Amino acid sequence: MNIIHEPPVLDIVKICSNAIKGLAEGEIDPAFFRINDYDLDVPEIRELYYNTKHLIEQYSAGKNFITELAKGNVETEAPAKNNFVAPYKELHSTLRHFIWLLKQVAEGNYNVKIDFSGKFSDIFTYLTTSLLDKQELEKKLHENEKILRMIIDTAPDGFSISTIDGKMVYASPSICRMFGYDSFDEVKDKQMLDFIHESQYEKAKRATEELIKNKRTSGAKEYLEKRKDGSLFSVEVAGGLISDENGNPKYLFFAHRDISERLQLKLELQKYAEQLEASNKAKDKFFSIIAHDLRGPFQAFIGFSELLKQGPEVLSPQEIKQFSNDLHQALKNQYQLLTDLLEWSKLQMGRGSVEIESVNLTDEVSELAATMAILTKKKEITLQNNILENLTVKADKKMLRLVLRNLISNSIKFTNNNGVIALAAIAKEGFVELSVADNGIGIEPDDMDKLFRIDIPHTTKGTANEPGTGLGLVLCKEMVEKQGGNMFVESERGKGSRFYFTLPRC
Amino acid sequence: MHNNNYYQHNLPDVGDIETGRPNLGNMTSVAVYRLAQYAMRTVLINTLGRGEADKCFFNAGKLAGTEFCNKYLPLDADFNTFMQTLYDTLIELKAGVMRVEDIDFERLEVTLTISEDLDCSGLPVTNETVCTYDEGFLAGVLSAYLKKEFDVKEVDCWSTGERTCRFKIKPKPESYYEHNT
Repeated sequence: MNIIHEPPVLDIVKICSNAIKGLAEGEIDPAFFRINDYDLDVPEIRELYYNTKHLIEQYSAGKNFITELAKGNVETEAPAKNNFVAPYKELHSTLRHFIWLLKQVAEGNYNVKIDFSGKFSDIFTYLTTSLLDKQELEKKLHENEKILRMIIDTAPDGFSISTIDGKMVYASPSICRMFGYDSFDEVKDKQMLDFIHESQYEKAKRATEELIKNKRTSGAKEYLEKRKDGSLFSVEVAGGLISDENGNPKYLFFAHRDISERLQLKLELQKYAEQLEASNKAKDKFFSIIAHDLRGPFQAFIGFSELLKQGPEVLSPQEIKQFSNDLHQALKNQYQLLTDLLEWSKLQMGRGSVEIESVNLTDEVSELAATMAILTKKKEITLQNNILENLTVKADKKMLRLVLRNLISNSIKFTNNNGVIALAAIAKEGFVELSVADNGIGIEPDDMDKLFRIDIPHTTKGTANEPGTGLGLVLCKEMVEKQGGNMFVESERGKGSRFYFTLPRC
Repeated sequence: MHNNNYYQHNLPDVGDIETGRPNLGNMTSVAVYRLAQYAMRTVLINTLGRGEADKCFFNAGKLAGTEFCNKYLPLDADFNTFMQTLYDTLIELKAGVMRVEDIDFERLEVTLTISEDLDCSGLPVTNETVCTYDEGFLAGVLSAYLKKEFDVKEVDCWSTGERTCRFKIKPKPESYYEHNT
């Protein structure tokens, strides 16, 4: 027969009491857990037992929860319907919410705030506000950067940044376009000097050293730079220094401007200015020459008309005929001269052209010498045509006549009565040298340099007080040069002068 | 005179309070609100039984939450902004202090708490959760925003002896929100 031991009611009360006491002390009497249902016949004792058991379970669950919380295990699940840990569950909820907020902050959403935990909330709000300010600042910086980048990307000028030792770390699209590269990748890590022509290395190095030394922007300097294909072009470069937060030089900034078009324009403007000046001088010369060369022949007209004025009482019919013929010839010469001058003026104004052709020098000079003989008559000067060889030159016939006429007139002017003027031509390699030499008064050595210059007025009266403007020789030299030749003079005071010029030989 | 469907279809139209209550304004006593809610709750439980009464409260809360979301909350905002706005709005309306404890974005499971809850904070402990209306309200808000049906279960409540109400929210399996027009 089994004897069932039934603990006395008081024993169960005592065990429950000890369990509650142990709960407070942290260690529960194991006897409590050995109580069985069949020990609990008395309803009040059963209620006491189950209430104590529920209390222990709630307490244990709460204690475990708090322990996990103390370890920092915020992810632990809070025990439901547990009054023991209600404030801890609120704390748990707060911490988990705080973690959720922190996750948002970590993801860049700073527009969060907390309103619990007193000063902690203030600090957190301060943190998120600071981050928001920073975010706003970064946004503005980003916007400014976008604007700046837009300006840089669309600016015709190019911008580059290099390290202090010259390695390129940034180049704007304009730089790539300017230097003929497709993208920045092609120029990345190149040295700045790689873009500069070798002749400019020292200049560039000095400018960079000054930039680093002076720690301020430099004025624009012109450099000859190289494109990718090796072609050269002119660039204006201004530099600046970028320092780190301690003021130490970190990067070099350069602004590049392609000035090749500007220089070209400058050259063209300079050319136009020179052309304008030349045109002005030509105009001045034209009027001076007209005055000079139109006036000269009138001496012949006056001479012949004076002779004719003596009338048939003094002159024989033959002489009248002769002088009339001479006057007619002189007028024809004058007409020709006028025509020549107009042709020349057209040339000067750009409305005419030099018509180079083969000119038989012997024939041309003979014809001219004959027409000029009349001018020598008054001073009884002998005009010798020593061109015997049959020579042909490339020349503008009208200009050649004008040159020779001027040189002969000039010689007549500075040759005394009964003097001699000799015309000669010598064939040389590739050209022919023509000369008009006289045994006249010659030219002062100091005046030799002034003879062919339009900008230095120089004129001397002839041996018979013939006036002059000094423009005749200027005209001659210019015309010779237009025909591809050169003009020279040699003279000795009191012995005469020799003007000679070259023309291309046929 | 209103027809029978007026309130059902025009819930956000709570009237022109400013004009209607020029002296007393928009504020009222929590006690008045609770008196109304618990009086209705008692009548419904007595009339329909606990289960049916809870269903009525859940559905009423859901309808209110849906309309509240459509009227006051940014439906096109990202989730964090949406929840922050919900938090701010509930504070502004003095309905409670909502805090998100955890979100599983993959499963769309949310754990959140509401402290100082309008419905229950301060009630006697009865060891029963009582925020059934809140459950429905949260389900309605999230359904309107995420276009999915949600189950919301209150696991802690002031009435169970807690200091804050905790709600576990998860989507109903394979069910999508059908807009109730």
